[in-house]
Amino acid sequence: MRPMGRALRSFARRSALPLLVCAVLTALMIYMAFESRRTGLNLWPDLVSGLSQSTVITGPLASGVCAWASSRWAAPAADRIRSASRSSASIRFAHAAETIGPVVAAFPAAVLVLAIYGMTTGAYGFPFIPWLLALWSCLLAAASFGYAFGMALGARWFTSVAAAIAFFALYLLSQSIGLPHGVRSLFPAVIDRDTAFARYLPESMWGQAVLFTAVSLLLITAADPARRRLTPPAGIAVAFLAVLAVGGGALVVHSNGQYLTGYNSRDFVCSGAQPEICLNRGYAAAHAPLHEEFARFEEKTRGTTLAPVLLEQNVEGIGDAPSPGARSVYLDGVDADGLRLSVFSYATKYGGQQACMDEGTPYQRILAVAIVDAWLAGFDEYGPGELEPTAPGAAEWARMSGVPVAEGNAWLRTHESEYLSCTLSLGDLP
Amino acid sequence: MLLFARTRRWGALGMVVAVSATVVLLCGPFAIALNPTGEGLVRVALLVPLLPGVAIAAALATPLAAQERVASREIRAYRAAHVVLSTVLAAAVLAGAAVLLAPADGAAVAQQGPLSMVRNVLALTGAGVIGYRMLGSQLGWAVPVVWVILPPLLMPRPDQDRLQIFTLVNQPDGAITASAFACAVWIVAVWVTGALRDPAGR
Repeated sequence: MRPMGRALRSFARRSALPLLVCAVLTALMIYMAFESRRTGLNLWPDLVSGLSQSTVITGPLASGVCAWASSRWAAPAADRIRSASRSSASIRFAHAAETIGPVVAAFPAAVLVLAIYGMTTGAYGFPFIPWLLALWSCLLAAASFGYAFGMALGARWFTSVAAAIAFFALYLLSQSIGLPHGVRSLFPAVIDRDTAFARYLPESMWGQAVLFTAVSLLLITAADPARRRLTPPAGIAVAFLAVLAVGGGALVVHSNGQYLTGYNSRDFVCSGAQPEICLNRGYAAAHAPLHEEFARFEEKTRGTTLAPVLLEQNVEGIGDAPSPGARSVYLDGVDADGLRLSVFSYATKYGGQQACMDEGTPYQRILAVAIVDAWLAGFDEYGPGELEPTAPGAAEWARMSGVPVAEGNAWLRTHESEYLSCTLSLGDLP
Repeated sequence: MLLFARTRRWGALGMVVAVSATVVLLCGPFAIALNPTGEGLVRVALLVPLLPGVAIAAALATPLAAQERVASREIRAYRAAHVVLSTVLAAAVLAGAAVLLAPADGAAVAQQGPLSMVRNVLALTGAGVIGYRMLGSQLGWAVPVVWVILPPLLMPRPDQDRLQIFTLVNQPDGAITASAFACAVWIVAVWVTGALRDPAGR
């Protein structure tokens, strides 16, 4: 045990900075994963989204730290490598492992903590393993970039910060010059959002994992302080890694870097009547407050075709396929805004706004329908609530927002066809 | 005096400031969403003060630590003067570049001109200097880097930050608290440089 203990102490001394940074990065990833949780919900997809976001900040940090560590080692190591009895590759890869290893270990450490949290709190869902592997490979690529950068530049006063800023600048560049999504995904940072309403497309994730791992190994191989020529076996290994990198990159570009597509697993829990609301099991906490919101909406729409009967939680766009007789409800969060937005999106999807999409519809009519939608949902943030007091529609909204429910319901029943066909005028409003 | 200036890489700092001004001009009113929700745009030009900020802080590290430790003349005032003069240079040049920017599209990135640029130079230089003092050259740079990158990921819209401190870099010109905090950070950094002992010994 003693030699083992000595080896560990020696490793801790040599890799003090990477070990410290490992702890910092782990904490940062966990913090960002927790920050991505939504009020009242406990979903694995939210935690994975936070982990994905963290690649934007952990990349530059890992890059800068590894650049600092490798730049300090490069000059003294060159002479030692030339006169060493061990092979150059074994010395270099051992140092790379000591430097990059602790930094990269931050990711599994963070995932382990999140897994314990997820299991003890009953988080809904499970992380998609290829997604996690792709994220891990992003961190490896960032650290390897910094390692090679530091080795190339040497111990200058700006080496570490230059590596960090260069990595971030490349990220900005890759995101900003209008590249197709597949090409942008060749940069090691994932900013996709995971969701419970998704079908995963693992091609991009596997492609990224292979690409970033191969590029990392190539960078570590190229980071040779002694600048020796490649031996034939090393040349073959480099060629193999290059092929892997090209293959992985081609897979990413071919699959357009897409991680997921809209999909409803229909893992529902249903509750209530008039309306019956079916929500994804992970959103179970939303049943009671959403029923309250829709009860108010139902009072306003009673006797019209807008009145909800059976609602199924769904995803907007691709994958939005409620069962026959059911209507979709979208739910972003269980907080007050999320719940009202859910009712508002129902009103706009099944109300008159769809008819208002026709080109040439007069603004006054669109405004009249928007005022009704805002009244129905009790949500005016994006509509009439933003109007200037003297703007057309402002006075009508002020009147409409104060109309009692029974009176408003009676008015809606008599004007339902005009509302649904977007032929309502401001003068028709109560 | 000349030797002091040379060892604090005035030539390199001038180059960094010139490159930063060019990047500000190239970026123009260009903005990017760092957050995966796509919500909240970050004006790229406002991130550029990170370059002179960390360069000024990194340049404080002396390559002649052994000689300076036993120097007969007190050089803390020189170090503070180095921070003040280089910050003034960077702020003036970048603010000049920002004057030439066209107004940005969209309210989210509007009203961010020379004032925001000067504020960011002060804040990030201050954060860099304090970071290097606290964490050394290994990790000191991480303080301003994290201040620039992390907030837009957690708070996409600057108006979500009531204190205006966390998202200081992305606040508009009129954000009084952000400007005051930036000045305070910079003043503390100058004080730290001029009044406290250097990690190298003096």
